[in-house]
Amino acid sequence: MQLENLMGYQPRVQGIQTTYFVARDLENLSASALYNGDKDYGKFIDESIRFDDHEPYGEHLNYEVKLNLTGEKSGRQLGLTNVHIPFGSPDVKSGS
Amino acid sequence: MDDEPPNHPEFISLINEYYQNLLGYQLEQTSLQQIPESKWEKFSTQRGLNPNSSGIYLPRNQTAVIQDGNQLSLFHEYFGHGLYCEQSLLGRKLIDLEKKLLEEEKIKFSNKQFTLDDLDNFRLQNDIFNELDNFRKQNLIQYELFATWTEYLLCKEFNFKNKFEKKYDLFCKEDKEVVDSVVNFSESYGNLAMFYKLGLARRTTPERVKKLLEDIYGEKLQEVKFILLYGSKKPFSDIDVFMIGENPQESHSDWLDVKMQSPRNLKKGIENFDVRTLIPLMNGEFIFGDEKYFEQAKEQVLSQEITNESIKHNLKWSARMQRLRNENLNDDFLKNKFEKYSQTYLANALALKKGKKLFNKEDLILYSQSEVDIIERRNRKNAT
Repeated sequence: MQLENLMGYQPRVQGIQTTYFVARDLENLSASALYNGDKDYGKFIDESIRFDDHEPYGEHLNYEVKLNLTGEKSGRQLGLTNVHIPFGSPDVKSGS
Repeated sequence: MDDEPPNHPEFISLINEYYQNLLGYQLEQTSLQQIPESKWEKFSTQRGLNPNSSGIYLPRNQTAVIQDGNQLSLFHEYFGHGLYCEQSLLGRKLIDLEKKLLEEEKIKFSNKQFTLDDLDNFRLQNDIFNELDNFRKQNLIQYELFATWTEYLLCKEFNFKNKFEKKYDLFCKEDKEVVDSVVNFSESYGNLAMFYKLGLARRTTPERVKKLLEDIYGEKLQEVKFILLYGSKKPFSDIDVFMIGENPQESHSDWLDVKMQSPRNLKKGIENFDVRTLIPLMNGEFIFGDEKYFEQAKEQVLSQEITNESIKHNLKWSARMQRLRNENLNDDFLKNKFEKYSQTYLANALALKKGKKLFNKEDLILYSQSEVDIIERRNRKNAT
């Protein structure tokens, strides 16, 4: 199958370098193409999601707040955001 | 499987079927175009694309263009970028911006020929292009990580593991670290968790959420009394799960919110008409566990009488949530969470006082608003 048929349009080539397009070609001229191999994860390490064993859900997504009756903060569970408010009648004397 | 013809339509259907079963959707809008290797360079350079790549995904027309027969590119471009752009908010925004830019380019270049340089010059001065370009750069890691993990997933599921391993060997140390962490996550918590964590739409059904929880909690799940699915169930909202049991821990993230109560606290919550028990209990869909125990708990809520203690309990918790809200003014998430809880507890206390049992958050808020209206009308009347 011809390349032009595959792409559904045929840009006109004049000379060696220059290709001329018309408005209907715009449908195929994406401005944000994503390339296989166009990545450099290393440069994102400090600023992006990490999926470490200890923080499987990404630290920046964690609120990591566990509230007891007095609103005290404590640790995490499963590495997920943890906003836990225990049940039971509120102890107004000790909690307020 | 290595002997199968690469990228055969039946093979593509098989993968789509796999996605349909796992996620509840498959690729629908993405096109695939395969270019013979010998014509790849001409194809890409003519269009201003990088000829060194073995595949390209074009968000504007949602098309994956790959070198003929390249299976990893099929996985990366077509199933990876294709699915992400159909089923994630970050992907959908990229496509929306491309389509907006296209409309402006059509106006600019209508009825005239242009070169890639002309197009580049126009784009550089165009606000939508600049927004699109920034958005793409900001989220490139998300797009590429998802597509690379898709390669891993499909190679594993369809017995091409050696192909991914060969590619992996060529990654630099830093890339390997990041890819390792994604792969470790999916191996530890399951593929559904990985899709959802990376922002793909959550088409929740009791069966799918049961599978998700089994992968996350493993054997601990056997120790729960019952599990319910509740909440909005919207594709881009978090998955709300209510669990009764002793052992499995609560889990909270932007995509999964597991609330846990012991059987003892469930009993207390029912007796007190506590909104944090009643809303999930009375609205939740049964997922797993002892269904009879679940039905009995609901029955108790419906049959038991409203007591003064239960009204006081809801009033106390409304005040407590208000205090927690005030202590977390710098954290919008917590502030809003506690504020909503405070409103819901107060609304429930008002409803209970009037002998009404309301189990839906929206109903409770509407009810409290109507009560406020009545009080305000009464006050105005008294004033005149």
